[in-house]
Amino acid sequence: MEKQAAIGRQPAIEVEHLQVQFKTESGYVTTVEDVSFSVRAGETLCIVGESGSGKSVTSLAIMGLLDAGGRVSGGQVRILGEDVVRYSRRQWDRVRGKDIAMIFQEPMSALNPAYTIGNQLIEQIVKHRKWPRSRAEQHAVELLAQVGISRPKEILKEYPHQLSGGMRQRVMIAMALSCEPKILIADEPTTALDVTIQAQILSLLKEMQEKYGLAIILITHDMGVVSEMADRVLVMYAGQVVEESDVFTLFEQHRHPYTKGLMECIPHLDLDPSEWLQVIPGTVPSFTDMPEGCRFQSRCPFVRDICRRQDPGLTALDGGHRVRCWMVREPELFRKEGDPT
Amino acid sequence: MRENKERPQDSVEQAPTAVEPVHPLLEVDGVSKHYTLRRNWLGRPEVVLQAVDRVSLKLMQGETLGVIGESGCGKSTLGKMLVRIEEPTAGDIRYQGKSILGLSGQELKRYRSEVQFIFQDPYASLNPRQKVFDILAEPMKVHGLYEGERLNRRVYELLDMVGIPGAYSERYPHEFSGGQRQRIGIARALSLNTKIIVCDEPVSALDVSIQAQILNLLRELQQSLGLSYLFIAHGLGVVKYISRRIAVMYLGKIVEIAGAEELFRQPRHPYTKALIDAHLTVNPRERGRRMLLAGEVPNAINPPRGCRFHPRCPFATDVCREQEPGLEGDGGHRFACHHPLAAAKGASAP
Amino acid sequence: MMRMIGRRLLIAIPVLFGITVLNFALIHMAPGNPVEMYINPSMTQQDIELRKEQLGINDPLPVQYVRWLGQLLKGDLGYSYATYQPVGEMLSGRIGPTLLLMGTALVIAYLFAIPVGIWSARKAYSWFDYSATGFAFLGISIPNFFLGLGAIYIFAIQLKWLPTGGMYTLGKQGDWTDVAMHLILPACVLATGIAGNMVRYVRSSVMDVLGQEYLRTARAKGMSEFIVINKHALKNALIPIITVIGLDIPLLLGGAVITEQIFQWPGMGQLLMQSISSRDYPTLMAINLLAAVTVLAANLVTDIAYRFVDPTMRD
Repeated sequence: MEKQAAIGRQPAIEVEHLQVQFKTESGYVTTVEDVSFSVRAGETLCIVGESGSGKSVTSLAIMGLLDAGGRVSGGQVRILGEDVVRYSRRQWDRVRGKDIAMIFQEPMSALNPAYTIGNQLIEQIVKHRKWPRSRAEQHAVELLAQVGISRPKEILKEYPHQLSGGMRQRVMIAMALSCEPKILIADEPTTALDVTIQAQILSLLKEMQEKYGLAIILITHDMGVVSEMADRVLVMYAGQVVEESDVFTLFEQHRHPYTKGLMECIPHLDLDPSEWLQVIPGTVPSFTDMPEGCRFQSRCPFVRDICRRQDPGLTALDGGHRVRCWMVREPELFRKEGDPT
Repeated sequence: MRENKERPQDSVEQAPTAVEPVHPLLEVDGVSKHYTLRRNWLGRPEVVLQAVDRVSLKLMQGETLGVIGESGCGKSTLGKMLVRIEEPTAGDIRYQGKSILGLSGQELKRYRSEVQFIFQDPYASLNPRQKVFDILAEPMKVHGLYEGERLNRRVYELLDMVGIPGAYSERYPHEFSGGQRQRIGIARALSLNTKIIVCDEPVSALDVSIQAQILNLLRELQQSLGLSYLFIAHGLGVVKYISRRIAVMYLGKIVEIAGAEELFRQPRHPYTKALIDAHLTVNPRERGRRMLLAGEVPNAINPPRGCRFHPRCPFATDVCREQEPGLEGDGGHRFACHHPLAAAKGASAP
Repeated sequence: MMRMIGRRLLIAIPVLFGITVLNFALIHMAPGNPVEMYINPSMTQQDIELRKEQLGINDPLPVQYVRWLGQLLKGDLGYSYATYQPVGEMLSGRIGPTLLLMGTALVIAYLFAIPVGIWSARKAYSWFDYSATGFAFLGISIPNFFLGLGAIYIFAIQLKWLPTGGMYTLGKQGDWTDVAMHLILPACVLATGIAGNMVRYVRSSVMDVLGQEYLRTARAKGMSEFIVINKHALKNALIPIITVIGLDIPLLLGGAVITEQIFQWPGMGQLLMQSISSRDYPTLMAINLLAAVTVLAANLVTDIAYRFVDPTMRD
């Protein structure tokens, strides 16, 4: 099923109207709704949101890694041209770790404490590439060196708990790249790391992207990471995409009130000492209690009647910029308050 | 845009005019915390973890001193020593001029009622079996500050101060979100005659929008109640937002201490600069133009000789490897480095 | 590692000392004495007193203890008051059958409990899980004597499939099939309690591990579910199980007391019961000492095993 994606032209991964549900006592509840995006080789898409936004669930869903009780209830996911939503476990086992790979937030809990680094690296290489152990081991050493680990031969014999957080994350990156996937999903890869190590890891990811022509989906809650890494950005709130654009547009011409709120509540270094952070009041609604209409209504300073009645859907602006907001879809309704931006 | 609030006339805490502005409210003098991990058969220490090593700083009345550093730098341990959750192995800590290390019984209790602690993990720091009302009432009962009807009113007052509806006082912690739990933790810290709050990463576990709410709350409370904070965190933006002065820690030592603005405009220690550079801006047009620090955050066990930062410092020379630099500089801005960065104007390039 | 072993061995000495003192005191607190257990009508009071003198049981307790200890340190466990045999010989004759019985019971128990526990965890809250847990509780709760008697009644008396007791049929010494037939019932009865306990531990440990993130990583790498469970999950799940096995090991020697009575199995348990009734102090002391040493050794072996299995404990 090895379909070659023409680099840079056909997207490596395409997601269309993805819907994810979870089982609760009262039946299935939709947690991710109508998520669409595509990423090409060499491109980085950042999915940004807070807890409850559905960003992690989205990433797990496109890898087929949802826990029991979760299911993809709608939409398509095409990895290198193949729709994987209905894949069986066996089919997934041939794709995961090989065409598409994932790295997680907490490298300590993501690595098996009972086996050596070498063991965990080599099993994957042997499985997908079917090389003999010796060749796999050699490759593992090269990989570790590539991700910036000094003394890679010794590290192979060590256990996860003997390494620092930054090194463990490098190991995870090495594992993810060991079979030269076309797509890499990174779920908050630097959140658990120290600031100076974070910078190193992000730099490493960029280097690897160039080297392997990766399509990267980077999930984060940190706007700084977005600013540093993204080509395109998806802002998620309460299970939906509320804004999508290229990174420059997002920072300079965002339109959704939530995006605006996110940007303004970050204490960045240039803030004047007498300024206060603009706070988004309230909290994210729970999935079992989702309001009718726009999901951001309870926290939006610009809310109108129509917001409470109907979901605005995604409105397309220029240059691939899409916003889920009535102010963008029907700006005349908001004229009275002055310029909505 | 909110303006800075005036201190209300009927604030709970009166500005202590008795303390002269020159004297620090809390003074840390050469404090160390060394953990002996292994002794040889004679009982002599063999492996020592120097979590904090000869740290000195001063917290003035009504100000926020930020302490910033990465994991293993000792900032949390320092915070804990200030409330005597940990005891220093050397040095002294003085509150209102008097040492707190020898205190016990009633005096210690009095100290504890005035110097409080806020924890990082809002999910672990509240007793899951206690109702919120009891969580807040307990410290006051223990210190005999209020009782009966006055106690009730005080609890509701506290909840109100932190923005939690009084009706929720009968609920248990698990019924609240992380941000709300942190507010409860803050209310608890305020319940006594609090003058100083040591905040140990109070917002790190929270979502960005909730972080902003809690930071604003802390700032408001400081202004209305005249509190002093020691604010420990690893996020630069957060620390700068709330602190007037900032101390940068590395591997158990303070490497630089200055006013917040000054520190960011003119960092003198290479580590401070690296921290600032590593902190990602929110401007995609300014990508990648920074000084990347090589190497790992090191271990505080048997730290390097000389300047502790020298293994990772791009400017290290022989003297750095041999001799530990002391804190020098004028009173406002001090740093511990043999080759401090030039005090250039608007330095942003290394 | 060697340091730890050395320290443990050093500590074992005072511990064993304390145990023997306590044991000695407790044994002698039971009313009666060895002589009075063997009175026949023809003995006079004088004979009784003489006998007591001979055995040395009229001396104060501490003196008796020191005497025993002195003999022990010379390698002499003494002579049984009941059979006049050297205690050491008696014990060695009994250890074999007990080890055989308990060893078989443990093997049967673990072979059953570990897979069942794993499956219960994987299919948690399913009917399989509930039945398995239910049976586990039954196994733990039903007393061995009840189960034993019931088993004898059903399988030996009614169905006549298996012998009613003993270790071998008279005259058939050395016939392993015969011993095996005799072994089945008591071993299975013993295994129920052990297995019941183990199922719950395995289930709980595996359930813990199943929630771990590294399994998700393994799946993300494309590893099959078989590998995920049997390689990645299992090793971690087995680590706490080792403690439980370590606690079961001392059973090897002393856990079959009641069952051995029921099935007339000629092991240590039976010997223990007999020695208690006859106030056979030397034998009792020896058995207790052996039990204490076994427990200490089992704990030490468990701790060492931990260091091998759990990499995070290997400094």
